[in-house]
Amino acid sequence: MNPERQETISPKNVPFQPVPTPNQQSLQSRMLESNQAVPDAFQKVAAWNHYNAVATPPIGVPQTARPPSNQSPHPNPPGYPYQSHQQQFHPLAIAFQQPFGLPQQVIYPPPPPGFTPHRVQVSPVGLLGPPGFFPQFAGSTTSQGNPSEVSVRTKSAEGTTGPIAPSITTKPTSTIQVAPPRDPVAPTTSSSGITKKPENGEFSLVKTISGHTKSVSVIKFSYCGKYLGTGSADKQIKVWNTVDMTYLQTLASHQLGINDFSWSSNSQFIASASDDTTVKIFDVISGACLRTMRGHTNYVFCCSFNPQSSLIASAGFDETVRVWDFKTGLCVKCIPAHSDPITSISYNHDGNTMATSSYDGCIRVWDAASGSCLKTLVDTDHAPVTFVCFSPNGKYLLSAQLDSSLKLWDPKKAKPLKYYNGHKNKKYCLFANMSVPLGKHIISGSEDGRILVWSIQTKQIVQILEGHTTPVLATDSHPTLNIIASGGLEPDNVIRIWRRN
Amino acid sequence: MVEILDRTYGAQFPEELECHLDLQNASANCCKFNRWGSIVAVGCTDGRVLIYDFMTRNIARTFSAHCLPVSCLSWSRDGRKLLTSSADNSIAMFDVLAGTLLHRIRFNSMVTFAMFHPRNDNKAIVLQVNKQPTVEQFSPRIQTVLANDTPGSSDESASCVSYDRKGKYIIAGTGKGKLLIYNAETLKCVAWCKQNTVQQIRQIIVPMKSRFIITNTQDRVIRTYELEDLLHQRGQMVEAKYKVLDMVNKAAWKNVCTDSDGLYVCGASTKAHSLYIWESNTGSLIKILHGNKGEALLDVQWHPTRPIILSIAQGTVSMWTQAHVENWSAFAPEFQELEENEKYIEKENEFDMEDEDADEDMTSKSQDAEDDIIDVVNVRPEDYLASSDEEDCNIMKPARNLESGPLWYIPVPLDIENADNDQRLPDDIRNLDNLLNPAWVASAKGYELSPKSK
Repeated sequence: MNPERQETISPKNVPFQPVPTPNQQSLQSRMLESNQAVPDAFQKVAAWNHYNAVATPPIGVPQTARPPSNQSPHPNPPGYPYQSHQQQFHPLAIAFQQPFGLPQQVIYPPPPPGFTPHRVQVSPVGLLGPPGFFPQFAGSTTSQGNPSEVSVRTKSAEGTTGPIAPSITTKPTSTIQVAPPRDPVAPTTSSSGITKKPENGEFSLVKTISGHTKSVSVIKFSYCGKYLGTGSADKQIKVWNTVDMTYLQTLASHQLGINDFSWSSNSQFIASASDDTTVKIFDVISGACLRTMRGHTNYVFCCSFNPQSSLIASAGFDETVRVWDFKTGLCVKCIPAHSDPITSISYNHDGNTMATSSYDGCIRVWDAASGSCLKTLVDTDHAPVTFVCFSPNGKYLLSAQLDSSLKLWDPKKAKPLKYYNGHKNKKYCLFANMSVPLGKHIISGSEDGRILVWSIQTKQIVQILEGHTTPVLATDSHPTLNIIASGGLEPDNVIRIWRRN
Repeated sequence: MVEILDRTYGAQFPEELECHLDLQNASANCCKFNRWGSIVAVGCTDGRVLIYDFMTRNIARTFSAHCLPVSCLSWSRDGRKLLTSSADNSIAMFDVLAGTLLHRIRFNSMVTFAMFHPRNDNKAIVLQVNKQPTVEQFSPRIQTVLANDTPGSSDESASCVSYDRKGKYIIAGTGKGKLLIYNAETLKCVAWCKQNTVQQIRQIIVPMKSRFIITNTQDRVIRTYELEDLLHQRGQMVEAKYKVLDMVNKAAWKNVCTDSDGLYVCGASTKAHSLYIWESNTGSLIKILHGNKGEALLDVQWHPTRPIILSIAQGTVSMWTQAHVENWSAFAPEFQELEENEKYIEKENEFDMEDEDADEDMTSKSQDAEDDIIDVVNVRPEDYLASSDEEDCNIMKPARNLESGPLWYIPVPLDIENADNDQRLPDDIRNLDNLLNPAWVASAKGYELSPKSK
């Protein structure tokens, strides 16, 4: 073979020397084409030729490489047999192109070593993992953007609107770190602004619970009122006994921080939403993780049991609502609900209707059975909506916006009925709730550390609870007793229990 | 749910076949929705009764009720009890939540119909083959026969029977086309009348919310009467207020059902898997739903609150639902879909640079909002009773934990066999390989999956 190649090369060299400029252009285009078009099988051949070509520079191969490329761009009738001839020596042509590229490879030695660790890292895992491993790896890669492993809910909204996790947002410098007061009865400020001791009919601090090592992101009483659940950025959900607020159980199976959780109607199970893109079901008494639902492609920001506790709805930063069957753990519905991350999801009292809120400023009401959209509620300010929930009778919707306002909506008329102001809410997704024992109140935390209580009917601030030194995201009221629970961000990390006299 | 919509989208009757219920190798014979449509009971030919959670379509309970086909099912008012009747000459009553058998009564003949009293789950009406209907009281055990003591027709036997909407009257249909109305307390005949036919009445249907009763007669005509009109009759012939029939094929009706408002009537054909849907007051045929050829229909049921029909043919339960029509107006407020072009008349100040009346509008709006009384706790009776003229609203208020009130759902147990062992890993492994699935990495590195220390 070698003598034949030499013979074919030498006679063509003479007639094509006078045209050097088109040679260079055609040579470059051919190299690009060959690089793009060569399949994997031929890449090995090219690599082999590459090594073979390295040994030939002393012979003066670069000079002879130019003539064969001259032949290809000429579609002459006598060129037709040349093309057939060239097809026979296709590997040879590739071989002769490699030496021309040799200087580039010599100039850039670092790139080839950069690829080797990637292969080494991937292939052993591929051998160990099942075929479906790669999508989960992609999910993990998404989580990689959050190296501090802080729950996304406990970060401010300024840095969390994008699909890629941002760096840690600097905490507000105005916050003064003050030790919590040792006096168990914290001073309270009434609507008149005068600091005074708690009177009859007002909430007062009765207990401070420590247990979480990072920000408390969610607090919820169970429907029977016996348990209090607290979720945190330390990847744990702790359950407390509400009779004496003693520790009961820790639910720890998530890989990243907790964003939300929901109690089942019989208070036996908890469904939790986390940054690790999974929804998990825990048995409250034993603390065991019974099921892990995978399917979301980004942070799961909120989840909710339906009143029958047969379905779990979850939503998050992938802008979809997924409905999971509690019995089997399968995803029975996937609704692309909003055009921005979804911040809250809530069922009404009979489980027929579902409400979602989003950073796009919309609140959408859905038919839970068919998954169709019934209505969209938008106010004129289009502020991002961070929370939405139905009233106990399913007739009204309470929403929280990032313009420091709470709104009570009539979903039938699609307009807000009442506005509640006085707190500060610019960055975080706060929880709000309606407290119905002994009067109808709306309770919400604030980013300045206070907890505000409004009267639903008059919209007046009934009481302001002070004691937290960091923003209060998580608040909840007991279903039957006059108890409020609240949790603070880092470095507070404590749960405060307030009771009305 | 319908009230949230500004206007109805799509038809209010089923239009297409959606799916079949998973019967798990059973052969269905009859089915029945509870009051809210959240649970459906399916009676099978082998005597079993399957209770479905209709939202998830999962089987929640299974009762081995009988050894022969189940002929009829009836729910109590609060949904906590289920009455089944069968060809094995017996009826059985079950506690649905506990899954236990409460009563079983044996008869001498096959039982073709059994129905709870609408207001009293201690009473039921039972119809056996070739016998007069009997009123059964379970505790204490009393049986009373409904005698046909009308003049000139003592030998006619009842072919169908039903309570009226509130359980005040019992309506019986005879084999010669007569209707007898009894007082449910005294069991005395208070009225009787004739239809304009002497053929057998096969079925009497009482819609949940209307004042009508509907008869399915063997002459293939479905007649609608007003109950108040029948109460004044003493043997006269009464003309039907509305009547529907198949003008083309003259199909006979195996079973008839209506929606809860009584606006639509659905007839199940005896010869083919075809469901005919009429508008009740106009008698116009609006839809024919065709199933598989060669299948004979056994039962048909309309959902209490949704345009859904369950039909049973060849042992399979088919579900017919509305065609999905996307409601684009729901995604954007102030967006309205037009059926045809409309001439737009702009408002007075619509395009003004400055709104001169803005202050007044805002003032009036805020005043309107102030006057509204916000009630966030009380649920209106029609929301959970599907009717607004009930007298025991407080007793029937649903509770979330099912300790009181009606059984509006069945708690779902977790399928523990499929639960995954998602155990906690050592801290060093988790911190080191956060990107990967911890279980595989731990297995590859030879670490043992240690259970949680606490």
